[in-house]
Amino acid sequence: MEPISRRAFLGLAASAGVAIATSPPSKLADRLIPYVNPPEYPPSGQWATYATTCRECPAGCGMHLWHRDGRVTKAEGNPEHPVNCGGLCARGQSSLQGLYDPDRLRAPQRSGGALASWPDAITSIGDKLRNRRGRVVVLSDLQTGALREVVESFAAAFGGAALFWEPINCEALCGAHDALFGLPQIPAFRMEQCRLILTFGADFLDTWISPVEYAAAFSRMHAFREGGMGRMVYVGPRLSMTAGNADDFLCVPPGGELAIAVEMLRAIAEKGRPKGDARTLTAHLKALSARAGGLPEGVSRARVESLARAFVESPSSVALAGPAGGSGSAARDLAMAAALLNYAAGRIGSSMDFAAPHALSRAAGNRQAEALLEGLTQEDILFLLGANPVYALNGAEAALRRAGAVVCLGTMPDESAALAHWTLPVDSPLESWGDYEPRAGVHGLMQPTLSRLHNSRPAGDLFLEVARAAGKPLARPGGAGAPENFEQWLHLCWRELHARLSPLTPFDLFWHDSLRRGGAYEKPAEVSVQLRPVADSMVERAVPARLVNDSRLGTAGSTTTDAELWVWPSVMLFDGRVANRGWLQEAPEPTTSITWGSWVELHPRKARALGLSDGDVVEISNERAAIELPLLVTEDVAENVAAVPLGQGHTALGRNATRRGANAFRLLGGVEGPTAFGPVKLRPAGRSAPPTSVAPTQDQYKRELLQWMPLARLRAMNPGDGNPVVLPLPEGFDPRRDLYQGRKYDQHRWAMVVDLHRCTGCGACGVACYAENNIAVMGEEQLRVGRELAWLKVVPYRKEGSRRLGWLPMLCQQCECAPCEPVCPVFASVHDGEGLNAQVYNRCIGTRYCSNNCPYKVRRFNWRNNEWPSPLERQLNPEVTVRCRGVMEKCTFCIQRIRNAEHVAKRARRPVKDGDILPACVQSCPTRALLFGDLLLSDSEVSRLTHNDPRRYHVLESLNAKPAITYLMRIEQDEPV
Amino acid sequence: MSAEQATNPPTPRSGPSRRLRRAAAWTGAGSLLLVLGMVLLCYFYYPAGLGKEQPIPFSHRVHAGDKEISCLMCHTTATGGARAGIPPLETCMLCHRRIIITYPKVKELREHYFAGRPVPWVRVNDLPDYVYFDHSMHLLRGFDCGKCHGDVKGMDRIVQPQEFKMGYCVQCHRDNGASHDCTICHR
Repeated sequence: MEPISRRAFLGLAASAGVAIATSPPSKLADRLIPYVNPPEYPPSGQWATYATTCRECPAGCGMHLWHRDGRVTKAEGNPEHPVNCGGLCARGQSSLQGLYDPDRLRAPQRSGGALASWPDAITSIGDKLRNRRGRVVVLSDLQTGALREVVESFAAAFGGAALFWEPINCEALCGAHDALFGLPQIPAFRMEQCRLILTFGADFLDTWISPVEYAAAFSRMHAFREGGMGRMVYVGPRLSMTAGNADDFLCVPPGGELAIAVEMLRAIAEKGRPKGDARTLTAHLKALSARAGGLPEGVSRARVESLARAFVESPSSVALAGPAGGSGSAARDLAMAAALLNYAAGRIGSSMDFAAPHALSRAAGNRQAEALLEGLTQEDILFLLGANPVYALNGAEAALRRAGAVVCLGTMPDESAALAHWTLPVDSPLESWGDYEPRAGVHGLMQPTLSRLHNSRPAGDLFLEVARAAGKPLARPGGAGAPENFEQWLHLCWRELHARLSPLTPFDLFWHDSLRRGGAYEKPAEVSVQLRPVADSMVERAVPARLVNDSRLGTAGSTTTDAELWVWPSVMLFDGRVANRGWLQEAPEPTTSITWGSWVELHPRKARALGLSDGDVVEISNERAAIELPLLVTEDVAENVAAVPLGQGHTALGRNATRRGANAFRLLGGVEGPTAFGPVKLRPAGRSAPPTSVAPTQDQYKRELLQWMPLARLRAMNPGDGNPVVLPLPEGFDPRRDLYQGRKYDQHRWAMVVDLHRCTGCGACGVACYAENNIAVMGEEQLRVGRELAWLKVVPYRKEGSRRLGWLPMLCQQCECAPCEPVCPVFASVHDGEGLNAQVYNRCIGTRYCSNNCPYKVRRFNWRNNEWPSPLERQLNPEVTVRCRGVMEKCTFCIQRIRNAEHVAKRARRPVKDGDILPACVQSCPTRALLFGDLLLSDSEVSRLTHNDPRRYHVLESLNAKPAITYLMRIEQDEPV
Repeated sequence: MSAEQATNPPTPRSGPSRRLRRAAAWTGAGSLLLVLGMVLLCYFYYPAGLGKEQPIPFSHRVHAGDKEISCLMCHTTATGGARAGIPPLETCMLCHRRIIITYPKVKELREHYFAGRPVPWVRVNDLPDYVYFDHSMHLLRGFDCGKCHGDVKGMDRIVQPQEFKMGYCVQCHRDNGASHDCTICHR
């Protein structure tokens, strides 16, 4: 570099002086602009919660949205809601990222992306409708209530059809129940009261029908109570999250589930005095067994018979049939077998209750959607509402290209919107009025939780306005009024509900009460269920050719390049509609801990036969499509199975979703074979692209991080038995072991208990933590080099010496003798007066010594200044610091919530009660596996469990860090059924 | 130079008028200094200082001092939450719907109100970033607002009596036996 001249130096110095003297405008707000007339509610600068209904999947859980100063920052489960009772899954949490998605549609668009005004759009579409020569067809996602009425009357007004289609729709269940009982419905499964749950590939803790509700019920039936606990048996080809939680996992190839179910039925019919109509049952059994193969390898007849005995003899039990994405005859046969098992054991009306059918019963299946789309011609006008058939339905792309006009109403620029002639942005569910009835008798209400962010409109209003523009204003069916807008329509619907549910209270009271509680709930009427005789069509259906030899269930008859496809919706991405949300992409999949991608799982023997190893890319093909995915070699799948998750492989949708993984929907189609998804061919693609996993191993290396306790041992123990844990209190001080005296706490000593037996591994807590604590999404490249930021990680571990899986939620243990504290040169890591291990961001200089010294590896370092693409920054919690580059961070036990609860208690002049404080992870947990409280309070739940529960232990107790998180061991059933 | 000399007429040299002029100049300069001195005196020795100018000269001295209106009458959320709150215009109109409605500044205020146009007040009290201060906790402990905000009853234009730096907070927490855990204020 050239030496700087005197003249240049003086010039630089002068301009710098001028720049400093004129002081560039400060970024700080120096104006205070109050309201002219403040709204009555919510109070400015204070939290308010709004109850609404989650619309991220058909389960329809109740939510509370935390609102402050015009924006919502956190979604929580509504404790009053009968479906989820307070828990909320990862996808529900992420509804905020859907709302603030930077790639959301913001204004009406013509094809090609030209922006248009609303009047233009509506008159132009109205004209199209007025001059139509073909049909008007609406393909919507599942709706019930007012919006369904609007869409149906819209289709009816133009002589068309409306279909409410879900890509993952459990149509096999509806078909089976229709054939057996004449009820094309998905009943309510009352698992809470069961002692035995038998699931044939139904991942009811992951994504099957209503996972939060079922997870809560499962955790209660599976809890140790009065010397016993319920049992779950999983029969299926892949160790899914649900299978990992099962007491017995029977790994069978696809098709093997039906064989076992039929064999069980036979055992019950022949030996076990079946309940109900035995003759019809036998006839059904005969029809079914003609289509079922022999028992799969490794499952003995005696085992099946003892399972059948347990199923019938247990006080209450239920059989469930999956897979969620299966739609062919094999899935229906399995659903029939499971329903017959329930019938034979007398579970209809108790644990399998048709009185409260699920909303999914009203969803159209893939077959109907395909038929609808196939019939489209040049003349037809197709309206899409929230449905993305181009992504999730083979052949839909051609149909959309064929259609005369496609009008797409949605929030995201997805694959179907890319083909649409008009794209109309609609309000996100969090901005809209609406209602949804997840199951009969649960009328969930939706209300706007903030004012709309973009130039969008309510979907219902758009249908009303377009119809008006086309000269056919819509009216409610049966002459019940012609509302101006959708909100009025909703009110009219709820007036009818009011007249039915509580005619004696004034409507306003009923309405506001429903708004507050998140809906109106009633007890549905009972229904009587009778087994129908075997329909002719069911008997005569040809036995598929491949079924004739039983070798299909082993590897003998098939070539090494063949495998049975097993497609499963992942717990984070479900059917892929949420794939653009950073939180969900970054959240590890529970069984593999893989983030930001998709993969195919093969058994080691299969992989060896193909000459492949971990990370190699495999081409998976069938007659419909071929996709390429990296390989994960695992013993968790049956030998002849290629297991692929759904949800990735988008070609549109936004920055996080596009061009990531492969779309397994491409391989699906109506399969009429002996397995749910049919066979695929595998071929090495000749390159390697390993997926990104955030848990490099599931091996515990004998460290006993995650412990199991046999049920028999637990049964013999009393409260207080077991290994005492060293408490993070003065009484935990031992001069032989400790250098320093224990700290004294006068007010509180916060602590947590994690019941590992209740934890199903769903990862909702992790995503809740992202939402509450302003944790940045790092992206795949950063995760690959280990720069993750998750404060709470649910890590899957194997039981020593077995393949059994358990999950260990790992977060800062808030140790009493925290190894991170003495090594910090600047006292950024300090202990506070309530036992918390505080991280002072302003002091932190980023030496990362603390992280090196933390045995639990829960400290996270900010390697960069993180950005929140607008408007995602509106989701940030105003009560939590946004950390910058060079700063260490970690779990704070949600200190902001602790302070809030303390302040509320202080204002009410009372002490903080047990249960006042719910950190975000504790609040979201569907199974109540996490518990937070004060160790100094002798009667707090946390105190009781930490002192007395026989299953208590600390992770890495030998290090004497005295963690404040006490884990309760998983319980192991004594012997397999 | 030469041109200047050429254009300037020679100065008249009459004695008395020249003395008079000098005296007048001295007197003028003196009185100017005096006035300036008075102004500076008033400015610096004003009872409690003079804060930033506001779009409408609202006087806390008149309202809180002379009229003895409680702080909480307008800053309503101080006892119930973290922020004391800036009153909405509606609050002003509780009185000024009827009281001295012809006074020009009140007139201006009323115009804002009826036009639905908020008044952009200038921020005076500034709390540093990354501090989560809660008004209600301090009021509950029995502290007067003046403990931190000074003699508001004597201020026409509000001034921040001291910078709210960490030393100030910690000293008070020490003096009063309150916790000085980092996590009390920082999250």
